[in-house]
Amino acid sequence: MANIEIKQLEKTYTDAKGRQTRVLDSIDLTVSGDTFVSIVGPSGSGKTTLLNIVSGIESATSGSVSLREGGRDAKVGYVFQDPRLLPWRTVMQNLSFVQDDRSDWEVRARHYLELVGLGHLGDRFPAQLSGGQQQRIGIARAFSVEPDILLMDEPFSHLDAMTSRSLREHLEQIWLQSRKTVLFVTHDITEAVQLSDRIIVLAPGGRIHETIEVDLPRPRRASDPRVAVLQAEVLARFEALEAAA
Amino acid sequence: MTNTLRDSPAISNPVPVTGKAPGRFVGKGTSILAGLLSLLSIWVVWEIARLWGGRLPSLAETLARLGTEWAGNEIWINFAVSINRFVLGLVLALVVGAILGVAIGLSKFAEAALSDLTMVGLAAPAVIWALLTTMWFGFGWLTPVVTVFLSGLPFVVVNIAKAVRAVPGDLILMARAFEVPRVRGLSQIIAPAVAGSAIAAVRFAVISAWNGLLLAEWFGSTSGVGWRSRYWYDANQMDGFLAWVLLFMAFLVLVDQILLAPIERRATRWRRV
Repeated sequence: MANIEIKQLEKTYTDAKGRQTRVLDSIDLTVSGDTFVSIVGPSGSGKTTLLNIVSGIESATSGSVSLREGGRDAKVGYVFQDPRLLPWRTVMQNLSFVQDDRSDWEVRARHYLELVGLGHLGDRFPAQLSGGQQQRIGIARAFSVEPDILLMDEPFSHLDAMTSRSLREHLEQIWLQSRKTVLFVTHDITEAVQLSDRIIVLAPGGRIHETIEVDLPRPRRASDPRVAVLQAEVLARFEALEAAA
Repeated sequence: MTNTLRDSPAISNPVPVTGKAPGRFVGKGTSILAGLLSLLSIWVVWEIARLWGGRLPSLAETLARLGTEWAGNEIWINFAVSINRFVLGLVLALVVGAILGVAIGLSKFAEAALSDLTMVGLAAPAVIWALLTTMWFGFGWLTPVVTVFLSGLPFVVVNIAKAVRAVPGDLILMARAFEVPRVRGLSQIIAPAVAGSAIAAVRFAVISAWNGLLLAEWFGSTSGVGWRSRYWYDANQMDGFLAWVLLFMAFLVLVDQILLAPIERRATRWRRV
């Protein structure tokens, strides 16, 4: 069972004039097992920074992050805001690029391409795909490494409403099959309510404002009245937070 | 009805791929035809110039002179000498240029320190380097080699710096997030990202360095293709002079079109899909 444990995490940036800006402040967070956790917050609340530190792309100023699966370090998959595909490699080559386990990688890659509905486009270059298709390749790539923990940074924010809605539903389907531990950054309350078991609300300055448990049956649809009610409730709290800031 | 990914035509239908840019001819037959037309236009201009001033030999006379140079082994001997100097100077320019280019691409300090010098190098015509090195080193192998080096160097520096700046940082971070081995990152992110500009660097350097070589041999050498063309120029034999000019140009075009252009096309073919 994968486990994310974040203790007293702080991140401070220092500009050229020596001024310091704190973007994460005393973050304590534990996510265990097949849990889908969303992190929401206004712009500048440190959502992406938190994910980057968890993934190891950035370092923290202080505090610690532990990603474990049983007795070993957990394997991580990452879905970025933009697809970040190698433009000079085909879809299959892009999936091959991130595999550390070379045995059966093709089977895994084709399986996840099929799951995102793009099994027939393995020999295409990214430039031959639409933005939505490229993002789906990004999702298939992250799942294809069979990660213990999946990090997702606003993966649908650059897509149109129709495409992002479809991708959300599809992501939920894949997640229900794979049951990974997911840390999902979004600024979209609908997305957070529809996908998450738990929503962490970050306040400006990068501290955890509150944690909201989402206890709704899956699969969820945006049109489900229970989703809509919870969405309105979270939105109201979010607006109160923004007004206070 | 739930709108899934598979039944959404806006998402699941692939973007049509034509394989060619709209409105451009890219067929092999078209390329051959264009090449033949280009040769024909050179011949037409040649004939007009010959009829106009009455000083130029015909193309047939020039080719006949080329034949006698061939028979006398002048072409092979002089080309061998020149290619030797050319390769030595060019390899030096590529190595030093790559080091300086990487430094400029990565460091703002190196950019501030070296960019003006590079601009001076780009602005200086090859003839200036040829004259300077002749005065500096006299008649010998060092004059053409240093001229080739100085003529090619600025083009390598500028294009390699551009290539280094073109390395996509977001892909590097992606590779780091997935813990991709460093060697794989180098071969599949860095190398393809810099390939286009690196090959452009070689192409520009070859053209500029070849010009430099010919001029250096013209002014400061007693062997090589530049020297041999001057030999005919000094003898006031236009057919011999033009025969060597044709040879210079043919050599450069062949190296560029048969060797370098296909490599560049292959390295950047993903841009044309």
